[in-house]
Amino acid sequence: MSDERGARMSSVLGSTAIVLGNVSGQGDLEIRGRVQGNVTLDGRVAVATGGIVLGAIEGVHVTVLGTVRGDLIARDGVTIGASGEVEGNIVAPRVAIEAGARVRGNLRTGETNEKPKSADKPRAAEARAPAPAPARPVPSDVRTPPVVEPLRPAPTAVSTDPLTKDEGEQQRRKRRRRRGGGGDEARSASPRTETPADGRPAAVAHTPAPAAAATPAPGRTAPSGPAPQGPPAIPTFVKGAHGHRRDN
Amino acid sequence: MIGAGLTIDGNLKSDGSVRVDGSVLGRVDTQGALELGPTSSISADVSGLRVSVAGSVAGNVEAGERVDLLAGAKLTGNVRAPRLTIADGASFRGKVDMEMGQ
Repeated sequence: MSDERGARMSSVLGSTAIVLGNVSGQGDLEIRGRVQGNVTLDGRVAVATGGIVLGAIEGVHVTVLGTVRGDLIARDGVTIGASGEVEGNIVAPRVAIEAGARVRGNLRTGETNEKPKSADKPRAAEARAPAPAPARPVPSDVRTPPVVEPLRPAPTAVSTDPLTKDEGEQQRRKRRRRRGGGGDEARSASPRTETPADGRPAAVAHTPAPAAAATPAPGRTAPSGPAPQGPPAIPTFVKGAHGHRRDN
Repeated sequence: MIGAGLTIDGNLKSDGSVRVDGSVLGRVDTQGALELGPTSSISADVSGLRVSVAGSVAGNVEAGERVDLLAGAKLTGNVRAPRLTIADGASFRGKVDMEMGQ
């Protein structure tokens, strides 16, 4: 029996056999012993339970039930049994790893004609996979700006537009006259408002409609800080302060 | 058991029985029976308890019990074993030392 099998294909390295060197050739090989070297076969390679290969294995199909410390390259497929232990990279169109097997290394499937398509897909998926990772921090960043954004539009849109129109201006004018000491508060609170208001107070007093709409907007946007204190109150103080400054 | 198409570029060592039908470019050492088939080719020393050679060996052959050169065997090297048989049709070129172990 050994003659036929041996002559044709299969070879077996017994459990007590130790090969120090490379094994190559044609036919199937079952390794029950130990091989310290590369195994390159044009056939099926099986590392039986208890078999140890310290080197790369290259074959049509590689089955590992023992231990392999080296890369596995198979033209057809790789099967790692439950008792198998592989420490190396695996390259094969098809790879089967049974439960209980221990594998440490990179795994690359899809190398032959049909496979590259399927191989590109997982690669693309992998490429996409890291992409969402940066996307996660983005929403966190987005969360912060929305917090800032409502602050900006709230004082500008809500307070300025309605108040600066007819009713708001009239009320402010009344307030300017009523509150004479508002200038001190405005100077200490918002020095920025002084500069833009200096050139316009004349226009504010004489032409209320356009100037009122224009001046309060820059005056408020600049002191975005004091906005939370009281958005509607600030514009009135600013106008009144400047107007009274000039008047005073 | 090393098949016909198999080549070992290195040494083969075993505690059990080994049959080689392929080629070994290195030493073959066994503690048991060593069978070198008709298609085998060994290019280094061979040792075993019982060694039967039917292929070609270019190296010394050493056995603890006996060496059998079968028909078709081609041995170029020395033989060192207590017993030696050379079958008809075997070619052998080398020296024989049968005094080991005594």
